[in-house]
Amino acid sequence: MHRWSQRPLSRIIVVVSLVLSAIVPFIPTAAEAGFQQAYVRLDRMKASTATGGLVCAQPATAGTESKVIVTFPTVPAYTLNTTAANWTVSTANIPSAATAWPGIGTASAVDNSAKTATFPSSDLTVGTLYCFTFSGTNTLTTGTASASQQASVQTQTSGSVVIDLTQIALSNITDDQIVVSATVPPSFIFTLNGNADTFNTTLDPLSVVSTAGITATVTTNAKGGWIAWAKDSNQGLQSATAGYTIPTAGTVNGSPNTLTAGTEGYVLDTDLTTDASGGCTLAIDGEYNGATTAAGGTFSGNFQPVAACTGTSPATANGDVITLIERAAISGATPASSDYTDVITVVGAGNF
Amino acid sequence: MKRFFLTALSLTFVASSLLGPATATAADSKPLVLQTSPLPINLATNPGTSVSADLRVKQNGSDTERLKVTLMKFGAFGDQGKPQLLDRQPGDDYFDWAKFDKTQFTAPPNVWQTVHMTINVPKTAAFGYYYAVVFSRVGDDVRQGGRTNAINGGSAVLVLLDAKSPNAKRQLEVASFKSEHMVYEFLPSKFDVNLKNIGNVHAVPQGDVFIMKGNKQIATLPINAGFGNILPNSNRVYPVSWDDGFPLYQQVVENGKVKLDKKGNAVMKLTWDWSHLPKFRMGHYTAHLFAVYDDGQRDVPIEADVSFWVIPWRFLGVLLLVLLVVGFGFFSGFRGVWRRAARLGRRKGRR
Repeated sequence: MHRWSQRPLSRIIVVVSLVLSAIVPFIPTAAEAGFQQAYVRLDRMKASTATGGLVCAQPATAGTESKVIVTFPTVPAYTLNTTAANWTVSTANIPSAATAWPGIGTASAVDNSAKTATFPSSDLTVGTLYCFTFSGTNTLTTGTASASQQASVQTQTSGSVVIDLTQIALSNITDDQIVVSATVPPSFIFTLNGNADTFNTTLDPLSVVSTAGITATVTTNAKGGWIAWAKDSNQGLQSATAGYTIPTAGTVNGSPNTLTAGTEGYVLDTDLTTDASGGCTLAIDGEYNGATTAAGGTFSGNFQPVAACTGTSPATANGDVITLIERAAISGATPASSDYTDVITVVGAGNF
Repeated sequence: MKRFFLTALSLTFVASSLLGPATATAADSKPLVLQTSPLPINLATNPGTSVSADLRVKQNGSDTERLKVTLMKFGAFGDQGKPQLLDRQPGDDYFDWAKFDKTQFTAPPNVWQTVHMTINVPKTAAFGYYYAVVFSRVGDDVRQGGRTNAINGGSAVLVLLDAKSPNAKRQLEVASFKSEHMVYEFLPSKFDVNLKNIGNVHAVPQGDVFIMKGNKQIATLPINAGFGNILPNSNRVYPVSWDDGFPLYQQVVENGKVKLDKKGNAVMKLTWDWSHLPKFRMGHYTAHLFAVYDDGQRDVPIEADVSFWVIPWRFLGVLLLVLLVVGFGFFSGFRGVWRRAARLGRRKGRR
């Protein structure tokens, strides 16, 4: 009598059985083939937080899809609102490389015990990446913080036969948002493009001569606008060598004066160069708003407003520019000298 | 001959040195960029105590600069309440109350410098004091060379000090409340709220201008949302603009700048945003000012009204013209029909 193990056929059967029992669990059935790729990106990763999400999948198996089922983690347990009507979907904000999931619609069934949300689907094409998003309003709440959670996406036929199924990983963290805080301080920036303003030519009894001009630029978030003042040290162009001052013309009366060639005079003209859009409206003070290249306002030993920017609050300024130009005329009898000069102080401030 | 030539050359050189060249050359002109913060500072304290504030300044030039601090005062003058900057005048003893931890300092580029201002308010102080702390570059107020003016730039931080007093009087009144025009073709409608402080310490009004059509409120326009102060014995004008209409005149903006005409006025353009069609404005309106200020005890209301019209006369003119043309067409048509009918009637009568 032979022992069973000594029979060749029996040996073969035993060996084959052992090998198959070891291999079979690792062989996927045709119905459980995985997607070429699939993922779920939740809008919030924070633990125990209401969220919506994005579901994407690229079918690998030919079949006639009828529904897509997303299974959310059971450990830690996510909470699914079982009112299927809340699980509205959209294909508006999906990745640019993806195709809107055909036939996707509001969930047809939601099971909080099985942690599944079932959505309708049309037939999908193998190799195409499809995506949709589901609402975060009264739908899904993440579980407690955990780094490794298992979820899945699967497509099924109308007969509930699985076509593609892929396990995916999710995770939660204690907080997923960064609070950004910053302070914008009240600020007034006053820029002069130079501190020396030279007359374009030597002074001449046959013409009114002007300086090249100095620009003053103001940028401020002052809600009440801004003001600029100017005052003069000599109320005239003074020559130490000649011991003579070409006096300023007129008086401060709200209107500019016009110089005449051959008659001594010296004025300050302020031009509105740029009224930056938004915020306040820039205006030149009437005294210094000369309309011609011979006009300007009287220099004063006291600070006089030359320009102001006003308007409905917030009357801010983002690069208002004025140009300060001095103009002078001399007579034939004005003493000759090369050191006629002046010191003009210009101050800007945010309004009170 | 050679001696003559050298003498002539020397004289020419001396003359040119004395009188300068016919055309001037620009002197070395150095830009100044000053940034200050905070903006107007409101301080309040009891007489006999001290109060302080940190003033920050930064120069944004390319080189390290030497800056200085100058104390001035400010006020407002005229019916429009123009801001006024003033040097110290006789009797301004309160300038002596203010001390700075530094009055000149080195300022590297783009580095904030803090200047600590302390005001030791004496027991005799009362009501409002208005300081202007001016930052400027050392040496800019020195005369330049020939034919070149020195421009001494400065940036001021305004400090309003309220030395609390039981005799403080905060009282505002409406100096005027005006509409820019009595009749507007299209919006915006602009108003000036001119308030006068007849008290002895600065005050801050706040409120709204309500645009009414009959008894119906059409719009609410805030005034002084920026909490601007009115100084004692001075006026301040708060501009208000109602621009919620269709069509609407708007400033023309090019490259972030308001387009200006030759006179420096903003160029306006009529814009037609058809989504605002329901905001077509026409008829008689009233702007009702309602503002309040704190007199130290309670909020005191101030009110005023001004009425104005919005009449889109060109639009109405075109509409009238169209109606006239259509009416004339109908009239001509009916007249023709009437005449034909009358002729037919006459012919039948003859038969």
